[in-house]
Amino acid sequence: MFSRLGHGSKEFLIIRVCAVLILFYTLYLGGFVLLTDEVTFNQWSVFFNNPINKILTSLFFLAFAVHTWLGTWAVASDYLTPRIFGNLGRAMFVGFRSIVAAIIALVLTWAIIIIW
Amino acid sequence: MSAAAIPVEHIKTITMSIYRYDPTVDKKPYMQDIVVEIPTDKDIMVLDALHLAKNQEPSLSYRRSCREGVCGSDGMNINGKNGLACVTPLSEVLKRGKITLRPMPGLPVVRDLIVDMKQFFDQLEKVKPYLITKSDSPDMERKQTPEEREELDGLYECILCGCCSTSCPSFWWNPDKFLGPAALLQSWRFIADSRDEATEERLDDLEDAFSLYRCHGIMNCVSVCPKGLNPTEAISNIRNKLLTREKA
Repeated sequence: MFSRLGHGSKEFLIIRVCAVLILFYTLYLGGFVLLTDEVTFNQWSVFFNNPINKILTSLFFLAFAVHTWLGTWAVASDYLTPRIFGNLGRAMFVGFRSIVAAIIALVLTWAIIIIW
Repeated sequence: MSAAAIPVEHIKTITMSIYRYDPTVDKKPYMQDIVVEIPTDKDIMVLDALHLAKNQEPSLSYRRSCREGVCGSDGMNINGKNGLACVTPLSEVLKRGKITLRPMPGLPVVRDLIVDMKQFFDQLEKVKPYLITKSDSPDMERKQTPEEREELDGLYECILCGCCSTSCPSFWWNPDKFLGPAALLQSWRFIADSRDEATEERLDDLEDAFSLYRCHGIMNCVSVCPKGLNPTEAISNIRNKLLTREKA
């Protein structure tokens, strides 16, 4: 089914699935914080040492990375274009995408190192 | 309309701040305040007030034709919101005796309130806004049930004034790639038509990241449509069709 979708439909679905994952994880983590009387370092460590929570947290960061990558592409292709900035438009687009890619790579690497 | 024929006690003055630009004369656009006298004993439309302003400034240019919301010629930006001057009562938009008129945003200005609609119509052309059939023509006509005909209500009424597309930021930024609400409403009008036999081709043409999916659902189009149509819903219907279709 998914492979038969066109480029636009795939991106549309991916962004929304990622958004749902991010929302789910935010509620899950928020629930843990709210339902725990006092979140101590030990409880925090136990929570993140649980393999299921490690996987869920990794999934959250993966969803964040994909959502950010596709979402900022949409923003950049609206505003950072030759139509608006002339000859500078293409360079600004590539520059912005490079900065976003660097930030996502940094956050992902950092998250993986911390989680695992 | 002539203000001279109205008794003095039934006249008040208003200020019309109007975008002026004649590329053959002006280096850049400017706003001109034109004070006009309007009747107080009846409500007039923005287009009527424009005629009064033009009596004072004959060089003032704008499109108009039917003056009853059918031809879609006099779409313009009225106090920051797109609309048809001929069906917008002055009393609804007059603020402290002043009204501001600009051309519809996002399209090149030809002169004053007249914009070049080429980009708008180029996008409309892409959705092939006509019935496409492959089967043999019947002897009389291609029939529809009343229910099938009802599917087209809220779609066929579009008068292509451009108010919706020119109020859409996605269309402002990518008028060559994003089809815009007016064209997409027409696209759905033919996808939804039981007599049309090119649904798959129409949907295939919309599968890229820009043509349809650049709509972010902010609904400016719905807010400004002078005919009360809902392009956002039409876009949503196309999207659902794209995501759920069984492609061969």
